[in-house]
Amino acid sequence: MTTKIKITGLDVALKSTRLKIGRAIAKGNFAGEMREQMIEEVRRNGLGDPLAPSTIETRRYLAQHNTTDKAYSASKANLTFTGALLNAMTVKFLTSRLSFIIDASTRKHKRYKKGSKQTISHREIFDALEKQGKNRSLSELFKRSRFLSNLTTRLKKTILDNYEN
Amino acid sequence: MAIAGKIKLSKSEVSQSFNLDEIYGRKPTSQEVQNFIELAKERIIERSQSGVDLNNEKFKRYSEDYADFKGVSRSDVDMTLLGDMLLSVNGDATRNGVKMSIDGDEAPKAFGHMTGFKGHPTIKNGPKREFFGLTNDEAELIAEAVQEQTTSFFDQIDIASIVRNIGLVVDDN
Repeated sequence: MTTKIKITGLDVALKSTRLKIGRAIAKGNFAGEMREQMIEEVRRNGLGDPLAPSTIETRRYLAQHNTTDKAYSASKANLTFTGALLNAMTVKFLTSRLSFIIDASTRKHKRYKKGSKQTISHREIFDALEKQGKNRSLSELFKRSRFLSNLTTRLKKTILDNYEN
Repeated sequence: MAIAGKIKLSKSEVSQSFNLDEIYGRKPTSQEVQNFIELAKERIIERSQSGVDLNNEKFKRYSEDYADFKGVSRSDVDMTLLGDMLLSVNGDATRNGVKMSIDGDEAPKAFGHMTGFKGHPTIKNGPKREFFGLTNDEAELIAEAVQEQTTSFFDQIDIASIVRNIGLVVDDN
């Protein structure tokens, strides 16, 4: 599921300046902030096409036997049931490349009570969601202008707050 | 005496020389030359991207068609489309200092901007945008900063202007 997000607009910055910007981003732990913002965006505004009626029914049934996340809603396509899947998402920052790598844990997702006996990893679940072709890839978030604008503003602030000459 | 020489303008060469002997009273070290080039380059890029020309005046506005093509407002002039021209600002050591120039392939483009597209086969009376070069005051400030081994003044200017232009995109490569 690996998605790579790169920072643009730095082409004309000198190598030494880019390196200092990279250090500022790492020091300010923007990768952690980006992860939080992505999770909040998906939980609040959903991701991808509406859920199929059969999926909604299954979610309602499973919710009777499992503890759900507070952002869970049976009919909302927000990748949230117990909350474990989005919590397994990782964002790593590559200082020298000024890029973010979005990935997920390879730990197995915990089985739902009264659910399928099959267990697969969080990463495999994200991969399967991407392959569904219902716009549930996390990269879709970066097509949302309001989300992107908010995230970019935070990135700029992180750089300016942590930049060291 | 001024340390900044006159800007040379031709389709094959856009350059300006700086006499560092004049300010240091001796031949500059190779490290001083290198630092001067770095700071001069940063200064030209930073000033251009903040929309101001060599004479500290705002660049002439884009035409409506070009602003639409670039997706910016007419007054958002930063001499940067792909960034190639500004990235091609470079410098070399000379007998008594430094010669800043635009690397070969980008020189005709820079000549066009600097002269209002003089001699251009299709653009008549184009806008003159003098982005390249340093004033004598700028050159002296840089030379002093190099000698004092401090770059913080220019770094601070640069970071604010650079950060203003950044964005985030999915990298499909």
